[in-house]
Amino acid sequence: MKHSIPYLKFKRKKLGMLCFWILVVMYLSFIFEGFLAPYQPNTKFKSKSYQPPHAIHLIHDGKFVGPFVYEYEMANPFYKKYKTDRAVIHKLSMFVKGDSYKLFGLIPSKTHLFGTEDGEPVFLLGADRLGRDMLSRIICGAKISLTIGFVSIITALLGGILIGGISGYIGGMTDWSIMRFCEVIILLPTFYFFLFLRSILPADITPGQKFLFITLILAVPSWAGSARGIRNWVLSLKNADYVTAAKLSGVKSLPILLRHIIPQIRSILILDITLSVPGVILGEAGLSFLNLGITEPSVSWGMLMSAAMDINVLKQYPWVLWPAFVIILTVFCFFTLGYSLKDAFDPKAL
Amino acid sequence: MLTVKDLVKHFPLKAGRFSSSEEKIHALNGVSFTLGKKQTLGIVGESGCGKSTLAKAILGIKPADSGSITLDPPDTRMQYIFQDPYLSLDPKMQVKDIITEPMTAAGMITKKEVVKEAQRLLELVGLPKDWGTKYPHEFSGGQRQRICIGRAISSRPGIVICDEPVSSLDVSIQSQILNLLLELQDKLEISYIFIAHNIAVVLYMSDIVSVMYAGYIVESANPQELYADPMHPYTKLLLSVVPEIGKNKRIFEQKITGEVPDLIHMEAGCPFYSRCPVHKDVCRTAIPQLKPGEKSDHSCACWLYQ
Amino acid sequence: MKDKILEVKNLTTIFHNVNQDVTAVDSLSFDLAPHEILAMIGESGSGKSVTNLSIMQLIDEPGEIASESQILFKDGDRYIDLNKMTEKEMERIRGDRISMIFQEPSASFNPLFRLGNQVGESLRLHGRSTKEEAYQEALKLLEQVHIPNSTLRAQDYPFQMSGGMLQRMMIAQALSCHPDILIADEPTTALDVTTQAQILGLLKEKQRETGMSVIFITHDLALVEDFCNRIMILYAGSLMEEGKAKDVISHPMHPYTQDLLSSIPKPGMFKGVDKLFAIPGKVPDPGEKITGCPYAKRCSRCTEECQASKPGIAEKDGRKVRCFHAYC
Repeated sequence: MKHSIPYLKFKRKKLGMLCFWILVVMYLSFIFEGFLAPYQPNTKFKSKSYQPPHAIHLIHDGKFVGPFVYEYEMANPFYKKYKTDRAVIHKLSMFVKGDSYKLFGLIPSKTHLFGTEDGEPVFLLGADRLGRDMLSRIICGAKISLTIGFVSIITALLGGILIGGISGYIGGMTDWSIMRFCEVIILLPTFYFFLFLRSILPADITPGQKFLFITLILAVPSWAGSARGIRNWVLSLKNADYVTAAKLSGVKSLPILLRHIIPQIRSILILDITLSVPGVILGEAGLSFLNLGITEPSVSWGMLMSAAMDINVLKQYPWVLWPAFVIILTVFCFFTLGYSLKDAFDPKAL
Repeated sequence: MLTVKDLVKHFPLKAGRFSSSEEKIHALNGVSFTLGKKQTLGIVGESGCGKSTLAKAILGIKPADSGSITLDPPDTRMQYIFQDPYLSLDPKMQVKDIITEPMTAAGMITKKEVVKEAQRLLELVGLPKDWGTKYPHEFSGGQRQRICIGRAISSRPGIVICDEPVSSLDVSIQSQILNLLLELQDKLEISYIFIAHNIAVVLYMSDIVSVMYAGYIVESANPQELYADPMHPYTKLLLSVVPEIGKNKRIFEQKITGEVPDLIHMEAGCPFYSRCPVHKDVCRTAIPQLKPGEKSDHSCACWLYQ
Repeated sequence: MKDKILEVKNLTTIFHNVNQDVTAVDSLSFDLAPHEILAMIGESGSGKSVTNLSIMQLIDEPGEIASESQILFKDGDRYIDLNKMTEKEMERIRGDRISMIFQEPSASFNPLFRLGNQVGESLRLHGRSTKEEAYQEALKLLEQVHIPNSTLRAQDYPFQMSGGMLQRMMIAQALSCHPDILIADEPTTALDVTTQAQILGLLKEKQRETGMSVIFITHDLALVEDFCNRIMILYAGSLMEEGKAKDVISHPMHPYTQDLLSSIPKPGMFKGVDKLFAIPGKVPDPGEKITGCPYAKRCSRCTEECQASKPGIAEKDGRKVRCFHAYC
């Protein structure tokens, strides 16, 4: 037997597999963000405010010229209305030089995956109020939005393993008190709790610190949930025969917890992570949407969405809603992946 | 080697944290015995007779309420072999780490010696010695029980308690495991407490057999004696209903009255009173003590002989 | 054919697991006469339980009964093939014409309903009586399986019962519609020896009273010698030996039967005096590729022939045996 049964079962779930690969692409894309995004997230093209998305054409005047976009001409500077100028074309090309960035934050480079040959800005998903490329901003926003989910869930899980493990293993009064405390935390309305924690943060913090604090804030409610779940598992596993065998052999409590109990719930933890990450992504989006989370000059999907808060803006420049679709796609992928994994790990499911 | 005296264990019946019920399960009601070096004490009885509780009390997993357990020498190691080898091996650990766990925990060997020791132990229990890097799920039930036995004997214990070690195994595997246990006893001079519900298996494995009923030892003798001349009516009943090939026993025509004893509401007299075909008046009012009969090594707790 | 109540021909049941196909039952053929108790003996993976679930058409995904398998059941004066029945038609037969009892009676009752209602349930489901009649009938049934204070006990919930009493309840439920066949899947394995004797006695009594046929599945060869009429010995999904119970036990022809008989500890064998015979090796893993005789690896009579090809079944005087080197 070469592959484990959960792996073979998971391979059968076509939708789950698809979602898995979409997520892989998303995570890879923010690693190569500087290269994939045509511009830096904060590069402004003042004259291009709210420019609609460019459509990519191949044939101009009945002749094949390769991929190009038509020039958008500002028709009404007040309402930011554009019209297509069918006479001027900007040819697209791969690996063009543009903004300088650092690949993986280390290697300085100017090469981008694509761009116009003549340096005219191209906005495949349109531009925002300050004339910044939506596509570039979404790609760069992925970094915060996608990592914040993982980092905060892993933090929460480590806390949950520790607290839940101790609670379940020791039992008795300790267990009772810890569990009642967890229940109090779980019962707090999550979003208001985020807002409360956010409000006690000092105002003058660097973006780096802000990222850290927001991550921790988002970890608090999921910590309690994980602790409860893990405690139940520990409780059911601590009387397993092999745990008794280890105790009889004189193995100490902590090694028993770490070597015999926690490894059994590995699959549960993986599930817990995949199914909790979307909640945190949404939490971050919610906070940033209200301008309480990630703020300029950092970029996250929730922060990008705050541009779509005004119904008039949304009506005239609907492309500012792109980040919302990306968030929905991500959340959908995580949930689908999570439920596929759940079936794969479940020995009773087919 | 091991002397157990008047072991009592009652489990309180509590419905919840705030319940104040006084009722309890009388699992062990004063059990005494001695176990000699290289000897096997067989304990036979039906479910609820307290045989597993006895094992757990001796090992200290669920300490007894009262009574004494004396080891000679006092630092004698005790180990346990579980009934179900599918539950008693950590599924996420390699066999070499499982089988040497008692040794590493006791600091008898270093991490570097694990592989070598595991090979020695695997060979000792009749498994290929290079299987140490496999995981439990790659083994069959019988092979798993061999690993459990290897783990139990690894730290050179003086006493190994075997709690129904073959009852969850396939019929064609059981005799392998029984013979392995006997072989290891010869080689390593271990004492066993062998617990089972199958009287045929206990008779085959033991030097002394104790029959348990409702938390009491009701009869104790060497196996030949017990088989040829059972004294207690319950022992007789057990022997009459155990299936036996080629004997035409027609066990389905045996007249058996009564139900298993109620361990919560214990009556004053002999616990076997309600099922006993030969009970007397005294049986209802007083509990008979375990006393030697005509032969000094054959004792029985029954008013018929006192 | 006329005097058979059930005739199974070439039953093959395969489980299409994710990592491999497992043939749980390999072209098994047998029949069952009226008033007969047939014992099916086997260890884990022998296919004894799957055979009976196949008869009941209770094989779910990923399991599959081969379409050429025939399970002929005598319905009045004609035979119907259960393997060709629709689910609706099977529902009419299950619990009515063929009933089943299991090893764990506590798992077969709904913990939330009173036992009296559950025992009479199949009567109601098969449209034989109303709810009230079914309950009255259940009380009668409980009395017939010798449950003391049956009127009171009918008001109890499953957790209030001992294993032996629950097994009696399950027998009462299985017998409620007067089935032609009762399939008993290890009905006494989870019980104590004294209770086991009582339950066997009850089964025998009911079988004599109603004249039904019983398929008695067990791993315990010692149990069936005088209890059953015929014995089938299964190993790794194949029939190894079949014959009258007394004959098979006193003159086992297949090496497996013989080894099994000598490896079971008998009362009266003692340490240091007797040495129990131990069959080497282990039961084949499910899905293990076997070309020759399934027992070849563990058999003392194994030759090259046994490893190369699977022996066919030789039949003589009602005895069947699958072995090149059978003891005759």
